[in-house]
Amino acid sequence: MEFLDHFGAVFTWSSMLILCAGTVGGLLLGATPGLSPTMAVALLIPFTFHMDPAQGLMLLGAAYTSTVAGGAVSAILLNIPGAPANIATALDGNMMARMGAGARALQICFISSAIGGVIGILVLIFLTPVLAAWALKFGPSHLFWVAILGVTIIATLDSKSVVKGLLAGCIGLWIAMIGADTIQGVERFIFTEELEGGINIIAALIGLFAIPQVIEMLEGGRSDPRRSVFEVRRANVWRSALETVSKLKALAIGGIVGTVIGLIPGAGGQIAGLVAYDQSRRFSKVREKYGTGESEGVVAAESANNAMVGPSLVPLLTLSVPGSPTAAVLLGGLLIHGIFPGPDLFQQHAAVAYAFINSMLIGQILMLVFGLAIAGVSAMVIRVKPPILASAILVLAVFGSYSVQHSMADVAIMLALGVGMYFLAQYGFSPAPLVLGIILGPIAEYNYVQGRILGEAQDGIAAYFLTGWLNLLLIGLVALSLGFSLYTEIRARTDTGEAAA
Amino acid sequence: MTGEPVPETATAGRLQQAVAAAIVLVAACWIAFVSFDVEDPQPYLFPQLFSGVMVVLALIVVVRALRGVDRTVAGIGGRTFRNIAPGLAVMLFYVFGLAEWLGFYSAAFLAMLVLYSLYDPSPHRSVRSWAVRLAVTAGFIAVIYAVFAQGLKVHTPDGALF
Amino acid sequence: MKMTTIAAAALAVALPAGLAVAADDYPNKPISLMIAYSPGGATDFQARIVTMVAANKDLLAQPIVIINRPGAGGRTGWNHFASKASTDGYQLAAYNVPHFIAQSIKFKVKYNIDNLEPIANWGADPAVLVVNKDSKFNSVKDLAAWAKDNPGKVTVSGAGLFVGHHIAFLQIQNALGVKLSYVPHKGGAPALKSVLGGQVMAGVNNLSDAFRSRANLKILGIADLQRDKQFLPDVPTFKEQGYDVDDSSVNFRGIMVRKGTPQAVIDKLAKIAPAMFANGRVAKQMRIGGSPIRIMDRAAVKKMWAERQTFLTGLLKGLK
Repeated sequence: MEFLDHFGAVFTWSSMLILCAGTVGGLLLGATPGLSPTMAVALLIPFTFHMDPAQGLMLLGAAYTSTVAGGAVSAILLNIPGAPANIATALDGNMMARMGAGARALQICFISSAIGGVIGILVLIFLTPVLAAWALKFGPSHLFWVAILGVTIIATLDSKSVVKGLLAGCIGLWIAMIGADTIQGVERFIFTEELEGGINIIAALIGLFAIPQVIEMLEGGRSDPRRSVFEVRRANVWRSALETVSKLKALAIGGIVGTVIGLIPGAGGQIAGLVAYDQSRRFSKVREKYGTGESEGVVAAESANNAMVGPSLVPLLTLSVPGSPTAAVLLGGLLIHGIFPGPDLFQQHAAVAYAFINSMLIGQILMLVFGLAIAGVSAMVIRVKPPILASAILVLAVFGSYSVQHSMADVAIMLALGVGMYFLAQYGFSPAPLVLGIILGPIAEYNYVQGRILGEAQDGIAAYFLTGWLNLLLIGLVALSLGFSLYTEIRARTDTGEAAA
Repeated sequence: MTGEPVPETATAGRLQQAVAAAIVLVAACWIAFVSFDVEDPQPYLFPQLFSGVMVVLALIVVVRALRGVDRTVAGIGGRTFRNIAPGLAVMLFYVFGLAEWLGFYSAAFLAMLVLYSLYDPSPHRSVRSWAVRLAVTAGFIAVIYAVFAQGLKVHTPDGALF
Repeated sequence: MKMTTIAAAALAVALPAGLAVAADDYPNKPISLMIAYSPGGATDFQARIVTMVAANKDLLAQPIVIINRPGAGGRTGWNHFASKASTDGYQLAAYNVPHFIAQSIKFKVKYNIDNLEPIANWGADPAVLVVNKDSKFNSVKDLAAWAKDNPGKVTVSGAGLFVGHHIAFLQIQNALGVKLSYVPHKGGAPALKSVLGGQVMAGVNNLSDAFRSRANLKILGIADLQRDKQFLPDVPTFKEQGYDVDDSSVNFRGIMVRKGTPQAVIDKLAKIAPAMFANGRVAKQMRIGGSPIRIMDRAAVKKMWAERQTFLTGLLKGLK
């Protein structure tokens, strides 16, 4: 319970001010399309130069927590996920907003984010020593199977047709393989110079989600008879809280999935929300309502996203091994203050380390308070007239994708993918499986290539990938997941009596 | 977009669906061709795998489109296309032409003003509606400038103007 | 105060940069420094430290702004720099040797040591050979002996292909005279994780990163000409242990400009930059960040670039 002794450092005027600034700033940054948590933290590091280490880290901790939740705001209101983590949130959250329940969706989102977030931080505080060793055990073969497990979700994710879902996933895989590969030393599918650096996931995300939104708003033409302005009904915070808590199963699934995926270094916490959403749907009584504005989907996705934050720092804080891109950036922030994470971090720099962790715990609560405070107001965004909203999102998309890595090529790729996605969407393809393909493709390939080299050096590739209890467990999960998809697909077909495609 | 209830009238015709599917098939075949036509096949193992799957899946989609109309596919009607065409033109011209040539902020201002005005239902002849458009655009670009240039210190390309 | 300098920076950037600049009043506006890696990485974070005093009156008297252009192991940023950067001295870039030189030999890129001009070097991070603390190897000799009996079975992690780690691996393999298996990773941190997690038997990594994880590692040797007195005084070099591995894989970091920059501007930068790196605040911040400093002037860097070019051309010739 040592962390309790260090709470004093958080409750000083200056610390609270920094925490509040970090939280509000993080929420706003997160809500801006194109500004992912990784980038927000990277952008804030220079600001910590002139602070003392503990306060600098409080700022980063608070910003990290709140950008993850902030990304849900644009996902819900505009169907534009702020980061890959928020894709699953958009699936049901945006439908809710379209039905006038935008404010309620935001409230539920922040409440479940805070619950998931606190679970994750508690895991970080109490189980770090146990889990750090476990997280390290994940090698290339295991990560390969984790990625394949993710692939099994693709077909059933937000698609009316399994075939088109898979096809979209394949397009995503292809997009992910474009560019120079630093592991295999090859350059693939580079048709123009712009593609050399590959396709940045954030730029792709903005293009695939934001641009079709923009074009869709223009469909009605100048008079715009078809789309009237959305209504925004007021929502009661207590009722939203009650609704969230009543979805115990979704919260539990979100918390567990988020924690486990967050712990695995290199799995990319980006898929935590999607996996939790998918699992929660499978175990849900209202399975068929998912994707039509079911608040349970928002609960599962957002609790998982935020539950991931704490555990994703376990390998970083104990072993100096960043498990995610954001953790890698945070490592830079720690080093710049002369703090070397490692087994002795909590002995050497207890004050700073606990200030950081406590600030994330308090940050969850501040995030909830500020999030709920802005929920009603920010829901009004969708009442802005479509022509203004469309042109504003376009400009934001351009600036957002440019600032990811100061690259005009990213802007061009963003727009090209976006326009392409708009047309694909008109023919029944959906962006969520496509983005999942972009995320999972490189994880699967990278770990396969490493596994192949390791296997060849040891007892053969097959032995490397197919033996060991962890491999077998993961393969079992893959088989279960596939079997379940097949089962529901067949049942759906016999129920309706015709091909669902 | 996805998941939205599709109105009865908006179902793409069989020909349109088949052509769209065929385009995807051609793309898939082409990716497969590029992936198999290589000197060193090892780094192309994954592209070969999924491009093969892609060709098969695209074939299924084509066959299905030819056999019957898929009612969940909205397609793009001539009217919709005429409506979005000017907007598309503005976007493409903004990103591929103006942004680097004119400078990031002035291009954003122009693109936003033009796109907004093109689709704004308020009358083009009234001075008031133009005043509103200018004010909204200028205000938004100012916010963008404050966030990206001042706050986040993003260094944008400077063209002929700003 | 800060806001006005930023506003001034934005204004200055907005003005056409084509006007000829006399070296006397150079620099009269903020300077940008392009980093070919992501924010938060070692190069980025060291660059931010060594340039933080640029605005001092006795140095450049103008701030240096960091711009990250990551992608393709640095190729995206350097390609952009060598083909599009201005040559007025207001756009600088950070170099990583041997990375960019090896890439210019192995790949079709737009940069090479002839179209870039070094200014000065700030840091040098040698590669070290590490094994897990539970490993059966206690010295390079142990590893070499086992590898001789089990050719190809020793797996060694490192960050990517044709970077410092890979080059150190190739040199070590040649010096040991046995076949080892190189397992490329996406960056030094995941490569180190594979050593800590026991997925690979050994790893080549940065001295600074290995130093931070030393509680869980055994550091067998340094691929440099001398020991590191500041951080790891007890770890011998490969040369001391009788293996011919020199400092060719040391990751040198410094500042460069595009060729065509006026000589007067280059001279001025080359005079001020080493003084900037030697600043007391910079040195202190680098030390607490665990980053080894090695300041070299323009002439020394030019010589080092040329040496690496020759050596790497030979080393990488036979490699697929």
